[in-house]
Amino acid sequence: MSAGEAMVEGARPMQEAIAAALAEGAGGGDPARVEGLRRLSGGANMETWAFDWRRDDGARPLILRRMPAGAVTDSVSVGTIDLPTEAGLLRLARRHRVSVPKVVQVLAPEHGLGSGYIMSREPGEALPFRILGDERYAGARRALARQCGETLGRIHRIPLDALPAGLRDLSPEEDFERLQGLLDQFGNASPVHQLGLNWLRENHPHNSRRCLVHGDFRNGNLLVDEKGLVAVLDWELAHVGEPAEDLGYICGNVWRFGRFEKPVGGFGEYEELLAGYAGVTGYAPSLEEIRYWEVYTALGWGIVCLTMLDMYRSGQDPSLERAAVGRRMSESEIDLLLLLDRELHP
Amino acid sequence: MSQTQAGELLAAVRAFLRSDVVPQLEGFSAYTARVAANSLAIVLRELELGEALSEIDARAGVRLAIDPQEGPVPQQLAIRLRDGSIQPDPEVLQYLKRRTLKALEIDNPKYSGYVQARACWNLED
Repeated sequence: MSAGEAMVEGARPMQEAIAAALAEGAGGGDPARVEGLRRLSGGANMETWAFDWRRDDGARPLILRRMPAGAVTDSVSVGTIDLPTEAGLLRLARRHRVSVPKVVQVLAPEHGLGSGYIMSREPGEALPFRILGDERYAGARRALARQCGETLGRIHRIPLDALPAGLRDLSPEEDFERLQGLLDQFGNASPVHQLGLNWLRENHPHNSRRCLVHGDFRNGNLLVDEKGLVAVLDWELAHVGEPAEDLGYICGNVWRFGRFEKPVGGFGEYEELLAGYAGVTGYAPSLEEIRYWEVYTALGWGIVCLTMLDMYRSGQDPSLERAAVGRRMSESEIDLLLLLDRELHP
Repeated sequence: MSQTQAGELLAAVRAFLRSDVVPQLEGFSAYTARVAANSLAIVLRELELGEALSEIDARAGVRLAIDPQEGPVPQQLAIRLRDGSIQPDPEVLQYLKRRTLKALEIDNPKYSGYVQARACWNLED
């Protein structure tokens, strides 16, 4: 998407609105200082933009994440947190030595940009196929699984009473009801999803530990350089839950991007992930528990596909991207069947 | 000679997207154009394999005593697994594996789960 013609509320050029938001307290913002503005990702509602903020001491690379005013939120169906809460979580995580982008400005209504925030644009690669394929990241691949374990350990050690209000915090039973409600809402399209949910209900490991769960901690949402993990992105699915959820999530087959022989994100081994985690927390869940959450992750991916399809069909977000992700439902089904085959008929 | 077939039109549009459109775009638009070309590839495979998938469902409907008038067989099976009136016995699992493999053959035959399942499931008729 080209940026030159981007307009925001009141038919105001976007550069001007961004400059004003950043210049708060330092005199009027100069739109000429917002350089190279370009949209990074789609979706009718959530927008991510990259740009450089030119200052006297050099250019500062930044990211704007925003939802235009009046956009219909998909938070009910997908379970996402709102953007100001997300900004608060990033700041909290940073205080607890989790590598995350630095929040520079949380948008206010008078900025005319909708809701959202501006953060630092960290150098690094997030595209899974490059991280898994390029020779440049060979060293990173060796270090990543352990670093992911350490980082999840730091996220999970953030005290629950420090968390912002409004995070989903469901008991296992409430969560199963939520998932069943979604399968029902989407027309009971998949017997494999139902099989998966039935199995999850019957085999829950009953871990009583609760912590902040990132909820989307996977290859693709991790910024990586030659040495490994640089920053953890995409916190919108954060909630309170069991620690093993995040650890199993990054091992889900869909997030191995074809390298299924490397269970952690397509780059590492279970033992490395758990060793890194235990090094920070002094505790590690069993491999059996990790596998349970891999089943949960496969079902979760199926529900994401159904949600995207529903957003397309309802006209809420009639984009090709939504329609195409909806068609990936069968990926979640084959992953569920591969996992459950061993469990149902060992 | 007949007129251009639907599949031929789709293949031609897909080739146009890949070789002409994608190289002229960048960023999110280039990505979306690749998604568009891939979506046409799915439709092409469905034209070829969709009937086989419907047959798998129809045969399972007969075996599981599901009346297709009530709704699609997969949906009816999902509802019965939900209320417990059908158990996931080996025959049900066999059907689900067979239908899911066929669905992946249409949707994304490069998916690693499909490759793994093809290698480790031995599905006899």
